[in-house]
Amino acid sequence: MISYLLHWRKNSDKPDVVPEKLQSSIDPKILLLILGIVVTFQIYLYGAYPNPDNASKLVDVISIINPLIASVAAFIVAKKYWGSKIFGKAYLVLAIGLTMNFLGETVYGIYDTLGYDTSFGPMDILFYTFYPLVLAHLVLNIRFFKPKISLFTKLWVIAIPAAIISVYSVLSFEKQGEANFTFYTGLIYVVMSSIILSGTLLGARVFKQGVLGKAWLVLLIGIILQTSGDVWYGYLDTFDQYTLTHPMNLLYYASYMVITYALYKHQKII
Amino acid sequence: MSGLDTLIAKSLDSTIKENLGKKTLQKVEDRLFEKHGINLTQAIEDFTKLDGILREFFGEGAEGLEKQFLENIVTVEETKAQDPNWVAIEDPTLAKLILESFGDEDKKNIINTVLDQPKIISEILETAQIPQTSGYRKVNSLIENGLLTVQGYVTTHDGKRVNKYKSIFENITINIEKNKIVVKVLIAKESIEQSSIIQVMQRR
Repeated sequence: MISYLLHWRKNSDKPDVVPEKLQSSIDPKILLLILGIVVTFQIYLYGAYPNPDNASKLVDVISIINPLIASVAAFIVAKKYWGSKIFGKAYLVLAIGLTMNFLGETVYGIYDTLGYDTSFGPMDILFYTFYPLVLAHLVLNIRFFKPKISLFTKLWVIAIPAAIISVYSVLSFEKQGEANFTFYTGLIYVVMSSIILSGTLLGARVFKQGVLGKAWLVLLIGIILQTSGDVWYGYLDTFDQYTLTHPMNLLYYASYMVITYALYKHQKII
Repeated sequence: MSGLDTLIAKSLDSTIKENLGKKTLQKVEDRLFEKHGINLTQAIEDFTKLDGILREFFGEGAEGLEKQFLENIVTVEETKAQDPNWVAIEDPTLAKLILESFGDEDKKNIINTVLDQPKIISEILETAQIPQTSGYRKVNSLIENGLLTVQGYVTTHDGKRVNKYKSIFENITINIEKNKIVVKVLIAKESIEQSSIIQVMQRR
């Protein structure tokens, strides 16, 4: 109230002009802040933990908190649209999806603390569940707002995941010379992640001309970071090169923060 | 507002609320008022304004949104064998309104009287043989609900213009299919031409 009065006093001599077009810009400072946070964290990890295994507790905590914040944000947005057929359902499934990632990270943290094998386990099932739920979020939105999709659009929607999967498979297979279990478990992440990347790109195109397009563009950035993380993780895991302090983790940390910002923008816009 | 738009407007408000939620509807209404100084019902009269506001929010997604709105209310028959102006009424409130109007003997007679050609109210009541007092009330109710629409006028000997009214339907069929009452109406060509909603949709 006070800030409103101060704003009113400061601007009382200016006439109120109704904007011809609604505006909502993406704040580059927030994206730079996210970048700054994750890079600073990585530099700290390198400095404080020369042995990556010693960083497990801190990395586990950060890895758990990040999707938790994003899922809470998604539940808040879902509550805002509660009861509506499209937004209500779409944001609820997204919130559940992010919760699955939070639970996956929690189980991973427990396994890591107890010294169990973390290469494949129940956490992967929880992580896998995230993707169909995000896909459901995308399908609900796109099917409602863009019921007719042109053949050209369908082609590039299929081509993007096909290209990502091919590049990943060729690179991994060339280096490894065989397709082992780790290759396939990593491939599942890459396949699902590339599909949601393609779907988010389509969603961002549908809303591009509208103010909601800004929120979708931020979401797209978050999903690109997530997909890049999945591809990189899958590749590293196949060759047993993944460590808790590996810089690829920055992509995951940043992706949740960017997704949270996208959710904030969505509820602010509409 | 054309008769067809009045008829659709009866359901549009609730359809927006159902799909987008109350808060989104509020934002759309606020922007409509801020930019054009009109409310949602008034925006339906000039559908291009509502279309413009929805595009500001949803971009290209506004087209899908509007299509959904209309499909929840009416579906256009796409079979080549039938006249393209036949529409099936999907919205139960709208179907009830039409059925109630046809269930009322006087209202049914009024509509039948102006199915082919427009008439002034006194002519309608005379042809339908309905007493003036209740007759005017029932005609007004049909106009309010969009089932009768203004089409031309006559000038009386003292220079006054008196509106002529015509039914927005040319034909109607009521069927029961699997416990569901299906109301299909043949919309008069001029009603389609006057409807700003249909005009915006047809431009795509």
